[in-house]
Amino acid sequence: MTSYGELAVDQLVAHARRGDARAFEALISRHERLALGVAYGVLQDAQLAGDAVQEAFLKAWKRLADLTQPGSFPSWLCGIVRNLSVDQKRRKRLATCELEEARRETAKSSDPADELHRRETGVRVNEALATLDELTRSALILRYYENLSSREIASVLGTTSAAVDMRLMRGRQAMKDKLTVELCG
Amino acid sequence: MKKKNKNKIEPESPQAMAQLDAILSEHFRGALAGQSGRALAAFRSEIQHTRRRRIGWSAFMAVAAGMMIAWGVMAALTRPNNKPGQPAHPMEVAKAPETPKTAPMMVQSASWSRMMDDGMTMVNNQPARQLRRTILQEVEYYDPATKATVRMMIPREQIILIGVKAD
Repeated sequence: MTSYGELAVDQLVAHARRGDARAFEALISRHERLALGVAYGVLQDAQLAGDAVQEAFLKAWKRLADLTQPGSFPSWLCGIVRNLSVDQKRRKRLATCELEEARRETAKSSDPADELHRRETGVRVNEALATLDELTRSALILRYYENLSSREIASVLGTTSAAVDMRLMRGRQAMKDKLTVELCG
Repeated sequence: MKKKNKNKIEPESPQAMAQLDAILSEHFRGALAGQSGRALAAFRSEIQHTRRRRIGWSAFMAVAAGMMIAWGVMAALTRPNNKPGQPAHPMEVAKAPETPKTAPMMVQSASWSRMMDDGMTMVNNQPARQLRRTILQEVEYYDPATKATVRMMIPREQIILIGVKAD
């Protein structure tokens, strides 16, 4: 029996290309957070990011034959995620998504004061993130959410490690300035 | 009592960046926590749906193939015999001149018919009422030479057109 957890990405892709759904499930488990980070960087909306990632994986499954280098699955997938996210950004957000999100967030904490504070901080972080350009925002998200190295972020975003380092430095500084004023001012 | 702000960033604190890192990590984890696992669930659902569709299609193809085979068998059984040198219709076997010794004898014959009204139709730009008559004739022969009994079912259909006077 194949242990998918131990297989490399290109091996999983090879299995999945032969119609092995379990191999593709392993690819989803391994890359879902990365894809969510990319989608969130573009959309700045968790629910919509989840929708885009879901759609992107289904699209990737159907188009696996188009992937020329199996080892480059992560960056190929992130390309699909990014394109779908950009498309989705153009569409209008449904009010029901906001309600669901609010319901989930309310359920997370039992202390209303903590919850309120957390929400306010979240809103300010989102506002500060919105002032950044998309690449810088995506770089920050991939670093803080997925804990990727600059080289890995560069590979996903199609840029160089040095450019990622520069964007991370400027992004952090901008966020710090913004949040210092917002939270302490 | 004012609640302590645990996410507060001190403007000139040496730990400012570390605090920022903590705030950002927590923010992204919290925001995207509810989204993990959705893609996997959606993929599994899609796979199941595809399998169900395939099974449905296979069943349809199997039924269609079965119907084709049945139709083929029926056609072969009811097809007129057109081999060279042989009569085109089984009825003609009985009518064909044979020596009295080997000629099969008709033992019995019965027929059932049903008339159906197909409604109005147009024939040469004239209105007509179309009736469809289906006849099933059963004939039994006995061949004294071979002592075999042959029973035949002959289905026929007639279309009857009755002219209707247009006023």
